[in-house]
Amino acid sequence: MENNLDLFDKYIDGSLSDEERKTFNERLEHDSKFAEDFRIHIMILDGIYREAWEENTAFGMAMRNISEAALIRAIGRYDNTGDSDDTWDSLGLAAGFSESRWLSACISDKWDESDMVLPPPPPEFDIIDIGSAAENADNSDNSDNSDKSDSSDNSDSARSSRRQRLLTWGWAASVAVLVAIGATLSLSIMSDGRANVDDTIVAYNYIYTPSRDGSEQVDLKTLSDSELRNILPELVKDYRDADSDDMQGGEEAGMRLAMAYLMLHDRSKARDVLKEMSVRYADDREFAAQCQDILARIR
Amino acid sequence: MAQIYEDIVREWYMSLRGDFITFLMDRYRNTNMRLADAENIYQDVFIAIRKNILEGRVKEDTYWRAYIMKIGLNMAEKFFRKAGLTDSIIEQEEDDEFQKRGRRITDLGKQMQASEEDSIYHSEEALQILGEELEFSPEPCLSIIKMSYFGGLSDSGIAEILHPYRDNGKPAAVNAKAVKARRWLCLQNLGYRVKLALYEAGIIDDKPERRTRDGK
Repeated sequence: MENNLDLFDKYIDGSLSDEERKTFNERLEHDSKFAEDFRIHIMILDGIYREAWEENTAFGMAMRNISEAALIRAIGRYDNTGDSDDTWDSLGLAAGFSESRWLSACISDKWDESDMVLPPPPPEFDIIDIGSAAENADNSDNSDNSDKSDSSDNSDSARSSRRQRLLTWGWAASVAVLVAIGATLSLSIMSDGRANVDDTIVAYNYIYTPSRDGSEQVDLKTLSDSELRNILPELVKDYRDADSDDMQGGEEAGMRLAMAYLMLHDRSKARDVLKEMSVRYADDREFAAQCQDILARIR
Repeated sequence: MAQIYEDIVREWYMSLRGDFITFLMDRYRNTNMRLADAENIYQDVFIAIRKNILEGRVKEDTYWRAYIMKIGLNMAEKFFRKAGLTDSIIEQEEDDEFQKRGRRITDLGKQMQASEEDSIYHSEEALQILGEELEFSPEPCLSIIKMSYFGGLSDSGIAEILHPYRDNGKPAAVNAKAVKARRWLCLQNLGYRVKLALYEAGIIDDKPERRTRDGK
């Protein structure tokens, strides 16, 4: 079956020549294995098509009949506009909006509407009135109280300058804190970005094939990070011990190992395995191309 | 019934959102596109689809998954051309592969069903086994198979829509190869599992073998 998929597809599409079609039909009559493979291939595609058709039809009908209000509810429509020229606003830092939290929520599909609600803006900067305290301290040190008005004027001036210095210092401190938060968030976003790239690569390249021949094979996606680390030695062993004659087995074992490394975001080890496999299985050009493609994504 | 429609739309919205937003964010990663912009575009897509349906500008048997991706890409490109988001019509191809190929496969299936010698299609158990194995199939296998066989898309087109890492300037053929390789592997695995299950159920006689390069 594995070598006949292209032939089956050409037959389905009607792209075989007359001679090829005749040969195909003769094989269907005389080669029982070939015929069985073709029947199963058609059965699979027929099943997938019927399922796809039903889902597709249901969606079309739903979109035709859904009310505008219900559609808005279904897609969770909100006003998420913002001036992209305003760096602070776009990052939401001024409002304390945690973009990394939202990114994680969105990408993990655990997003809900509460994540879209901006928190209240930070409180206004509180001016610490230490003028009175300073005045009291000054007055306690100042034994000359003969000219109370003059000292009062001086105290006011002193308080004012102190407030100004405090305001300036406080503002500078706030800016420094925000810059630090921004840098941390940026690093966090970059780190989250790389992790999300790894997760997406795994989503597209990892296929769990449950083994029915008695050997246990765990779906790596169901494991926690610690559980993954625990079975890494076993995955390494499976890959190293793969029979040199069993190319498919070796490729599957190697890809499982590479994907496990990516799930743990250990790109270095994943690259090592993928590079090795692209050389070892160079004869299987499709698989080698797949390895090269993944390598290009995690360089 | 209204609640059912809302549930169906919500389910589709949530199931495609990850792929769509990841695709846009990666495609426009060198721009100032924010996650919020991608989310907005995705929501606009659904609003535009409903509008197009009500105005009779889209066929009823459209393959919606591909249509959503296409219209979203169209909107995103307009977003960056700052040409507004009002015109969201995608020209549909005259030949709708979704129905065409699907009908061919269904017809072949019916021919087999009509055949006295074929036992698989007459077996309720076989069909049930098939259903279970399809349900058990991981993504993105089923999506790639659906898009390949019934979405009317080339491997490059599927790579553009499903694969989020199309490098600028990199030939599409490279990603198309990955799609082809993935589809081939998915069908291999699915076929193997179905055959093994049918064999274990006693419906077919030959135990499936694992593939090796030299035929062993």
